[in-house]
Amino acid sequence: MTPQVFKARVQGFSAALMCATILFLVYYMYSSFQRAYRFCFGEPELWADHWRVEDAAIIENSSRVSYFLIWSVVILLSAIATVAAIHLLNRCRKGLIFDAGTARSIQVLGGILVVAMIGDQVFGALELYLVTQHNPVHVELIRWQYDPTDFKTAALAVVLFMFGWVMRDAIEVEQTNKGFV
Amino acid sequence: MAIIVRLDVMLAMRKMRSKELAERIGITEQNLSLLKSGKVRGVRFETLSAICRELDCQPADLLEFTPDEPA
Repeated sequence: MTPQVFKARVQGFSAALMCATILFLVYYMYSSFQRAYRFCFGEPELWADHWRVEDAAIIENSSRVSYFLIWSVVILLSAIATVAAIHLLNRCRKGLIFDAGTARSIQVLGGILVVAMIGDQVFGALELYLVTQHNPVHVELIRWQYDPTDFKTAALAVVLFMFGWVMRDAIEVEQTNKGFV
Repeated sequence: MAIIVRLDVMLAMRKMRSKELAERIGITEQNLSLLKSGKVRGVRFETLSAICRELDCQPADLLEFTPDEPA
């Protein structure tokens, strides 16, 4: 396979993946916000009927707003990471593959994914406390919830960040050597 | 420019054409032309060594330093 053919294939694959990612982003934003809205405001009984919430608990509006806002931050962080991925795919679609901007995009994507994962962990730790805070008897403590999927994503994010770093260094070396005979 | 490339002088002295030297040292004629006109950022030791070998000369025969005139 010649480099031109390989590049054309990467461009085609990136374009297809970009379209799919845009559709995913729209669906993710819609479904995530809809779920959070329904739980907090749209169908208030969902919270009251939660299996950890006691029957005598009265859910205050301020708690609902807090839950929704914290959840919104997590959704937005993930959405920003997805936008960064779309930006990266768009650069590849344009044929800007071995490029300083692409390397920076990879680093930004890795960095945002790490932040999104941290946000997810923080929210995961807070979630049960927020849901059960009005229980008269048993309120769940703020505690970290173990989820192996998050570890895998965080590891991938760190790898992406490091890959972007190495790529930037490689491009710098290439730029330095350019013009030498 | 502080470094003057005297490759064309050495080529004339050795009665060798640019194309032949480019072939012998394994770089393109365009790159050799850029080197002759001093329009390169640097020369690899590998290239310099090959030129010296083929032209039977020293690096000092190819390169000359002239201080820039103060503005």
